[in-house]
Amino acid sequence: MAEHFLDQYVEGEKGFLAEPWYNALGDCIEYHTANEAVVADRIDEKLTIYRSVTTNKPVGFKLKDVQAILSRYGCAGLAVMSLEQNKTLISVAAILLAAYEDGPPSIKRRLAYANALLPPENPFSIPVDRICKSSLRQTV
Amino acid sequence: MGQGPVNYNQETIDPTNPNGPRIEAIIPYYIYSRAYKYDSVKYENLRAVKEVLENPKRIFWGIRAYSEGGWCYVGKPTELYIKENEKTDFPPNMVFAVYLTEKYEVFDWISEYMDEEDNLSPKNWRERYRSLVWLSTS
Repeated sequence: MAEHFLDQYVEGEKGFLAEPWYNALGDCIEYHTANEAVVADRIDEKLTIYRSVTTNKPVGFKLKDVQAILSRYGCAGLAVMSLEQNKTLISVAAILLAAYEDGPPSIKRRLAYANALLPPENPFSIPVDRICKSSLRQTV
Repeated sequence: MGQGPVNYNQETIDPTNPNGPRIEAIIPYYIYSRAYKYDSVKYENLRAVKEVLENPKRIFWGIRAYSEGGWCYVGKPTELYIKENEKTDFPPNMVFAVYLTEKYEVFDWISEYMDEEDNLSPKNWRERYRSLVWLSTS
């Protein structure tokens, strides 16, 4: 692999961490669940779903204008107490829900925000044939 | 071995004076070092950032709904890293977008599907950016 033009300025091991990150310069929360190239699937002014360039599966998201959300709802309205770390954290799920409330209701937005909150492979989903009797249309 | 926290300056077109001298965009240390440690494929694709800043095809202004300003430089790099040690020719149906603050600090970069009417712009650019301020004629 050709040398990277920034390699001389970095130290330690290259790596990957699937963890939400607040990018202060961009005022956005970024979350990659897989270490691979992504293509943007823009849902609305705030939410972009990251899709794998190779498989098109959702592999994370970017939530923009975080300070605007915080100023509207207040940190206290989005904070949760971490029992493990014994400190107050801002809930990314609460920020996502607040962002969802700001936009017009639509099936595309609802599914995209649900996907950002809980990816389909998460156990918090139920096989469709256990709920829907005849067609998917009944569920939307 | 690293030389400590150094912002990287990359020459690019000045969108406010496209025919004038080039300006320096900044790739901040905290942005690229974070990518190196925790998002290594994204770090590899800083190569595409450099390529796009050197040779942009479109420059847009006004990239956010709730804040003024910001720039989006768009181009077609030659390659894209799709995994840690795996690269491919840049996908023909995509463009590469580099997002900068009003002060020309790079804060994000990502592949986007190209627009149906202009294959050198990101999809639905008219709804997303305030204005197209410069486009390449070559």
